[in-house]
Amino acid sequence: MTAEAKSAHETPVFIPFSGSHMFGVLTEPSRTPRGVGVLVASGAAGTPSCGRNSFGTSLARELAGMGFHVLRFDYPGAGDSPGILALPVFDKPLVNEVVTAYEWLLNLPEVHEGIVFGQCGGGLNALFAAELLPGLRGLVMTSPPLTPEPKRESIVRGTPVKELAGRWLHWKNVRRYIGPDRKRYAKLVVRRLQAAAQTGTSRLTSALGLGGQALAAGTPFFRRMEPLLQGGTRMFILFGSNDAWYVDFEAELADGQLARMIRRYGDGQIRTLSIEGRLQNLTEIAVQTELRETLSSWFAEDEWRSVGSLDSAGRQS
Amino acid sequence: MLEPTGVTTDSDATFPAERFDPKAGICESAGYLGPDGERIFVYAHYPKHAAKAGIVVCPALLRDFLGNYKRDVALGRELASRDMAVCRFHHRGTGHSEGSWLTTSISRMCSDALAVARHLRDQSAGVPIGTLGTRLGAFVAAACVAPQPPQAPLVLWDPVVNAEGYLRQALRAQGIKNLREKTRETPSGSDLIRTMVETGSVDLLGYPLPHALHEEMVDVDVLDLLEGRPRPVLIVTRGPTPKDAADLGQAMEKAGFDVTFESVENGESWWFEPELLPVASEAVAAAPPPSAGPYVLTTLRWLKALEDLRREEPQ
Repeated sequence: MTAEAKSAHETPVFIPFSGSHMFGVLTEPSRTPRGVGVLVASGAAGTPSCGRNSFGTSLARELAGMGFHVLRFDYPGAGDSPGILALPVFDKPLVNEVVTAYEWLLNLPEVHEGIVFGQCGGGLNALFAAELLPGLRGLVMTSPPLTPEPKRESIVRGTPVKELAGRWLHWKNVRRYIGPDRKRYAKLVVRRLQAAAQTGTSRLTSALGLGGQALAAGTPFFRRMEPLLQGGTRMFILFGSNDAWYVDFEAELADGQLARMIRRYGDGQIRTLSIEGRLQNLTEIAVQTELRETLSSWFAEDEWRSVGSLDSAGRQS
Repeated sequence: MLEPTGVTTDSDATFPAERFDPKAGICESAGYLGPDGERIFVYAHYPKHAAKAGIVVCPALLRDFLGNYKRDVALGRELASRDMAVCRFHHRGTGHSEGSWLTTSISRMCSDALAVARHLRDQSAGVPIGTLGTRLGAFVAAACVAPQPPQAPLVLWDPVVNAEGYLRQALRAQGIKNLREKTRETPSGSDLIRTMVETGSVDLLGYPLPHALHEEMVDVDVLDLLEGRPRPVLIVTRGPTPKDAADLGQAMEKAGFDVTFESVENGESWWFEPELLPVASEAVAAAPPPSAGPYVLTTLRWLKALEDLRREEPQ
């Protein structure tokens, strides 16, 4: 049970950036600090850091209740930050903004290491900034853009049916299919089958010379992940079945670079999860709740304790 | 008259974040008002010199809260650079504030706004405090401006006057979204209303609308909240003034209010504004939208005209 932080543990801050400021809210731990800071990089196109239905605020308070220092911030021109909003372009993400906010967080005396949680475009920003973030231990991305445009129609990678079936029939998944949430998982399976059918159709049309274009092998997105994994950063990628890049994600998961990275580094270091619904913009309360619970359990793991964290008496452990 | 609940005092105010913008010549501060567990997030914009007047910006609610956010921010900064003090805030249970949204009521929201107005008046040497309310925020703005002196203006952006009509539109938008996204559940409008009655709230595009709040809004009249104290009112609407807003304006005029109608064209809908895209094309990103759109510019013009008029009046 965690003691969720209230605003008494929160401090609005102005973070100097490029001759002006970015607005943010620091939520300090309401229990023994872990020594780990979490930067919440919201969707990069203007959403204030409190998020839809206060998702960012409630997540920050919940994580602070687990002992994390959490900083949510607004990009310049978004939310309460002054400036002009720069909409992110796929290969020019808002890296400096993420780096500045992360460094501000890690300059706090009690914070030694960090995790970045990026939503949608915020995930892309975080990934592209990651190599510049000292002490980065974890990176969570929800529905990040995997390519400049979602390529729903152009996936020609074959789905390895055997592997897919093996995954779907894994005992953990089977338990879900017969559990209380069976209706939702059944729908998810249907969607996956539809995606697989689409992939198969695309492959057939490609083989017949009727069009289709291979998903670019080694996209910048996945190329950026590899060195982070080599450096020991843990990753968690979540997609909603209605998200723009979901089909691309499924194809990558079936037989793409993502699948190869999971095989190589193990699901302890890189985890993926599909949630039914839309994670982009979080337009359903049920999805907000499921995402929050999923993130809570990932962050609750004891591994997220900095080597230099403090014990309950405030001593360095 | 609504009974205020949990009215906060300025002794509970903490504003740890402050900045000065030399380019715009304004000061900004952010912090919280109110007792622990019920703190209201407030963001204030002050002019470099003493403020001539103040405005409390009552935010839009539910789905409109984020959709209108940048306009409120832009207005705050523009007004502060014209020697007006502005406070924006998040109602309890929303944004960065504390508290639960599901237990909210119009009286609680009005009490949030009144606490912010008191704080602003204390910070601005007792200048008259006008209010601005967007969409459902019109209810709160009307109640907040009522105790202010008659020269304090009321600005309403696309006011929602008919709460039942609002719910109908919201349910229609929710239905269209469900169809478009093929979401896990696609209940009909009547199913959603039944859910709201049975469970106490309904999911409207990612925000819970509490049944009790909806019932309360159906019963409350914006004109009643103004307590019959005439003052200048600006009603800005998207496109031609809708019948509800026109009726409200006419009723206000009958009651002696000085009402100005303005309509702005920006081609967007409150329900179907394009959601914030995760990535943009080079062309879109290269041309950022202007910070002050038609709502803000129209309001600035009207406030300036109001000020000029007052200056010309014999003392």
